[in-house]
This record gives sequence, structure tokens and C-alpha cells, in this order.
Amino acid sequence: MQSTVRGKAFIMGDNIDTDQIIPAEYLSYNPADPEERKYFGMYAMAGVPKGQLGLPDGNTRFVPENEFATEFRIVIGGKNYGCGSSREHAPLAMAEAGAQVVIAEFFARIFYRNCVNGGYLLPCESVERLVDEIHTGDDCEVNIETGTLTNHTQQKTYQLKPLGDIAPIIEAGGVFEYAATKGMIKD
Amino acid sequence: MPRAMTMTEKILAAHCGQDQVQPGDNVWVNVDILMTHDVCGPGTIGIFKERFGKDAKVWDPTRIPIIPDHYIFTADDKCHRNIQILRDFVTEQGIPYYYDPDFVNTQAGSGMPNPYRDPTQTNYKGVCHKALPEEGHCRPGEIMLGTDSHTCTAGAFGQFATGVGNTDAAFAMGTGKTWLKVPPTMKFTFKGNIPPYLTAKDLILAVIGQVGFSGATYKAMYFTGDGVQSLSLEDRMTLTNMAIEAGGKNGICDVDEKTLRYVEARSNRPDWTVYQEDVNAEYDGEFTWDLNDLEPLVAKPHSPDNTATARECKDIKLDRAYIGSCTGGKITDMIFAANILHGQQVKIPTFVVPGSTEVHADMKRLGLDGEPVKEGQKNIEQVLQDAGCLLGAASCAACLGGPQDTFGRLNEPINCISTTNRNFPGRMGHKEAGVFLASPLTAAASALTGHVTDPRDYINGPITTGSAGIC
Ligand code: SF4
Repeated sequence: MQSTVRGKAFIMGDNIDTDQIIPAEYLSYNPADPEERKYFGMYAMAGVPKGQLGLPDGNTRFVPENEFATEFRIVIGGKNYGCGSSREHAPLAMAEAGAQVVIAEFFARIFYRNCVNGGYLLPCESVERLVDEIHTGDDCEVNIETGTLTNHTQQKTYQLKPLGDIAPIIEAGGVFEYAATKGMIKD
Repeated sequence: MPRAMTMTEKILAAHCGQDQVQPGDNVWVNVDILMTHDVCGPGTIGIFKERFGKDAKVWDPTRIPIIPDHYIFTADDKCHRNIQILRDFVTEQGIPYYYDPDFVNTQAGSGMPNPYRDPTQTNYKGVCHKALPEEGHCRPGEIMLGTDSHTCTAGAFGQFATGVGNTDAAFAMGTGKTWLKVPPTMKFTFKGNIPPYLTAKDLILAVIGQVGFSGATYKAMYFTGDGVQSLSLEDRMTLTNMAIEAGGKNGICDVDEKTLRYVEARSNRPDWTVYQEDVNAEYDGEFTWDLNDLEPLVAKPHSPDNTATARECKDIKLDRAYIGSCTGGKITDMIFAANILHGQQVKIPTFVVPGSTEVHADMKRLGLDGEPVKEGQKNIEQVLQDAGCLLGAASCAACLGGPQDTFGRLNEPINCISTTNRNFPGRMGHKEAGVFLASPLTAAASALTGHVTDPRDYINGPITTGSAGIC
């Protein structure tokens, strides 16, 4: 896993649930089919209500209409990011669109687990609330080794919490890779 | 001295081969049951094949119930194709517990399927969390994983049950194992006897209103007390079902003679282990309610912790009522609603969706007292239809919105009172629709008036659910 990720930030509020990240009507695409999988990228964040999408203005699309990729690498939310349904399609959709890191004050459990075990996104918890300070479009950089987020646009650096027990799974790239390193399954 | 443990800790310890565990430990456990459905099954199967190989075999076909339920009654070809993926997989793997919507033609362009004619004459079951115990897959002391966040429902049977994503499910499918972090337990005690105007829905809304929508994140939620014992097993399932709406990892209830009666009548395996909380177990928070002090509650848009009493909301106008889902579409929920609605007319469109085909069959078989209908009595289905309700076929239906043509879906920005479990923006369809979560009693009373209504206005005696939902 690379140790820094730099790119534009996309800011969201509290309690962003997985129905907002990828609405139920798009779940009929089969993520195991590469052609269909792309559509999760197209519809990532399609359920977020107007006014909440890309704070502070709240009207920035995550993925431009009829496109598959986002210009935002780093998604930053408030509390309880990824709550609700267990659909793995949520981190998958964000990753498919091109996001690499998701930062929140804290995550809902299943979303967090899906990010890590599926190796989709790096989920980091921030020490302080970021969504009132950082703006959508700011040039940000996450450094995993130093555990920091730097906002180059505003020239400020913030602390991220250590990855803790799950660091080995993240480093391995997911639960299958991790289990293979432990000899639990064949590589 | 061994450490005093909670039921959740004991179950996890037993499944990782240790005498004891404590919150925060990361353990690899053996899984007893892995459930998947039509929305997450195809993705899970895809990862399973990619990782274990095209010809790989699942770890134990008898422990993988597959229950299509979400997108059944839709003309969407991709949804039908997903059912075909499940059909192919269960045939290839020899999976015995597959509940096929046998009336669905998976050919592209086949259109909206005609539902089962007779709910007793189909292999199809309906909502997975309702079908799991009905079909004998829930037992005390076991570990269940499901690719659905409401898998926690099964905790009503004194087991550890939690939702996982496709990758975790695919891993368990191949190995029979998963890693879990042992959660701390929060204890919720209900004292007294359930009064006729409350159901477990009011209890769990009180819990979520108290601890907040993320107040139990990563934690086990243990529901206990004589108030919980006074609930039917189906109503206890409503309690554990919504543990996830407080962020909980699992919800769990004590095992008593009601649990054992249900499991003995249904389980398709002969053995299970009953664990009890140790008296000195440690809790990460304890809350107690007296059931006599609780009032009928609703959760207002757009969060399950945005609770208020039904009375406080009496001026809120509604456009629709919805009675269904794994939370509020069980036979006991139907009996509750029918007891309010019988002999009256709903004022707003009221959609009723049985949680399973068994619930649907019981709606035809049982009367208002939860006992088999006698000559000259109306069954639950007739009572609801006579009151003007629109009756759908068993499935998840509009609980999660789903494809545009889903029965009951909110396609406009309207207000709906619903017995379901989530009211996030867009959950039942339209992003600007307002969903009020409530018990079947409150939803039914509100259907009669067109605004949020306390069911005490319509209840003048106890409502019995008889032997409904047990045998
Ligand atoms: S009824 Fe609703 S909450 Fe229950 S499994 Fe279906 S979609 Fe999920």
C-alpha cells in the first residue's frame, strides 16, 4: 500500500448512510461483472440530497453526469460515516469512481470492515472534526506513516488516529491477502 | 477466578476455542450459518469464485441458506438475472436450503412476474430475516453471518448474529471462518408487562432515541428483564432487528421457554447450547425502562433516533401508511394492525406487505385473536382488505425503495408512516419523502386518521396474538 495519497477532497456531513452512497435502485448491477461494476462508479453518492453534496456549497457532484470517474481522491465525512445497510457496494462504488481514502470522525462498523476486508479504501479516523474547515476541492494529502492529513490549499495539518489492530489487514490489502500471509488459505 | 462474561462473549469464546475472551480481543471464529440473498449473493459468489477458484466448493452446503427476497416483484431484467445466478450456484454446490421464487422467469424481457397464487404452494419464502427462523436456521448459542445488516434479528434466539459484506461472506463461504473483534455489551432492561398499546417497536425506538443513532457502534446490545420475557418471540425479533439502527454489532435476548418452544418446533439441527449472562458480567452502559412509563413512539425523518411520542406528532399530516418488512411485517405485526383496523376504513393509501409467504398464509389462516379462524369469522387478510388496505406479495418491497416499479415505493416527496426500520433520505424511494417509523399499532391508527395517531385512541382491551408465529 502506498504511504501517501494526494488529491482533491470531497466533504460530506454526519450520518452519511450507505443508501445515500449507493441507492438501492442500482444494486441490481452485479459487481462481479467488470462491465456492470463500472456503473457503481457512475452512481456513487447518487442518493445524497441536494445541499449536502460537496460541502460547504453542497451542490457539487461527486461524479460528473454520465461519467464513471470522480476527480476527488479523498472523501471526508463527519460522524458515523457509512451507517445503515451492510452493502459492500458502498465502499466499492466510491473506490470504483476513483476515491482512495475516506476520513471520518468515526465509522459505522460494517462499512469500515468492508473497506478494510475488501481492500477498497483506506478508512482513517480523524482526531478532530474536519468537515467545517476543509472545503470540497481543497488539495489534500494523507500520509499514512506520519498519520497526518495536510490541506495544502489552506496550509494546515491535522492528526489522524492510528490504524490499530487492523493495520496488518490493510497492509496486506484485504482479508484474503491477510489470511494467505498467515497460511490460513492458499495464496 | 474465571472472568464473568456476557452471552455474546461466551458464544464468541466457544467458537474460537478459548475459555474466555474480553472486549477488544480479535478472534477467528467458526461460523455456524452464513446467509445471503439476491442483492449480495451474486457479488459474494463472484468473490468466492475469484478467490477460491472456478471449481471451488463451499465449506458446508448445509450451512448456507440462500434466501432471495429483495428484488423479486419487478420487471428489471438484471434482478431476474441475479436470481438465475443464485439458481446456478445452488445447483452447482448442492445447497439444500435455497428458497426459490419459482414463479420468476429469468429470461430477459420476461417482465413483472406474477406472484405465487397460494403462499403455501411455493418454495419462495420472502424476507430472509423472517424466513431464517421459520425454516429452522436460528438456534441459541450459534454464530450467524448474513450479507445483510439486519442479520442481527436472529439474536432474539440467544445467538450471535451480525451483518457482513460480500468479501467477508465469500471468505466464510470458503473457509467457515471469520475474524471478529469481541464487542463490549450494553445492557437494556425492560421491567413490567407489555401493555396493549405498545409493541417491541416502541421499546427499540426508546432505546435508539436514548443512546442515539450511533450510540451502540461496535457494541453488543443485550435486551433483558421481565418486560422482554413478556414479548412474543416475534416481537423480540423487532428489538434485535433494529440493534443496527443504534450502530450495534449484534442484539441478543435471553433464552427462555418461549425461545426453546420455537426452536424445538423449527430447528433443522438437533443440538444447540444455551448460554446465560453471568451475574457479574461487565457492561458498557446500562439502561432501564418500566414499560408502564413508555408511550407509543415514532421516529421522525430522517433518522431512527429522531424520536417523539405519537401524541406530540398528532398534527403531522400523512399521505401513506406502510406495514411490512423484517421489522414490521411478521404475523404478530399483522394481527396488531388488524385489531386496530377491523370494521373501519383507512383514510390514506395503506400498503401491507407480509414479511414471508408463511406470514401471508397465516394471514389467511388466522383471525384477530391469532387463532385459526372459525366459521363466520374473518381472517386477517380479509380484515385488512375490508379496511381498504392494498395487499402485496411477501418481499422486502418498498422497505428499501428498490426498483421504480416496486410495490408501495415512495416515488414522490410524500409523508409515510411505516413499520420498517430506516428513514434515511431516500430509503423508501424519493430523496425528499418523509418516513415516520412506528409500531404496527401506531401505523394502523394513523392510517385511520391521516395524521400521526396514538393507538390508545383505538384500543380498548388487550390484543392477543395467540400461538401466531410459533408452530
Ligand atoms: S425488509 Fe427491509 S430491512 Fe428487512 S431485509 Fe428487506 S430491505 Fe432489509
